[in-house]
Amino acid sequence: MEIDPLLADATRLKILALLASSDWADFSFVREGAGLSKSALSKQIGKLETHEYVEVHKGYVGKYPRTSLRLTDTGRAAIENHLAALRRIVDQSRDRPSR
Amino acid sequence: MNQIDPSDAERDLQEVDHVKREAAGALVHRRGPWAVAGIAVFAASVLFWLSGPQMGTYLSWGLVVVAVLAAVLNRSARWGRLTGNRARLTGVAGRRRRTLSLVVILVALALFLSINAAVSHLLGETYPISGAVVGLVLALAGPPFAKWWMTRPENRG
Repeated sequence: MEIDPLLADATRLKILALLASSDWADFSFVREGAGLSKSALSKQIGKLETHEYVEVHKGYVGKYPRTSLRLTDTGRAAIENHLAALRRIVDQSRDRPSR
Repeated sequence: MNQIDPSDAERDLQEVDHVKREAAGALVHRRGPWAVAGIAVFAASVLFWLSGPQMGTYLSWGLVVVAVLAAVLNRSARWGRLTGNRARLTGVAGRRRRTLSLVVILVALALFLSINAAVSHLLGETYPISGAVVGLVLALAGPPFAKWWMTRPENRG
């Protein structure tokens, strides 16, 4: 359980947290949830996709474009490990006697 | 390895928790979908009333088929949007959300049937009054109820 450098960024952590609580999520849902602009989310998703943390499905429903996002197994393991590492840091700081 | 300050780690954990909670809430207590559901119930009751008992039976079965189809589509990342769904939640939030749908359907049905029985007893015929009442209840009480429902029991006021 180690801190994931990619998830040390709060924005990427938020995105992965949103995707971790869902089977799939609409691009606009993640954008609103993370409080990002379209371009900012696209940029972050690009990075997460490069590391195979996120899968992007682009398609059309009728003539309307539809982009949905899904966490990969690698991404799910990464956020679980990262959150476990954060919890351990917090727990250790609480256990440590105050000077 | 531990390059993160404990206070930053705690802030990140709180932020993750907050984002998840807000997202789950955003899926269920937006006013728009509840208002649409309320209007749909009222419109359906008017349609039933206008079409008479025989056609009403066909309409009921038609609506059951539509509901089953919507439930199936709702699971799909590609087609879920057609049913107004923007994400399929998993874990505790997902279970709460699916239970909420079932509870709302059962409560709306019980309310509809009891008002319908009272109206036909008092006025001798069924009118779309029960549909209007259920529609209003859904549109007005839906969002606050959904918000309350999705809140963890220990955080409920």
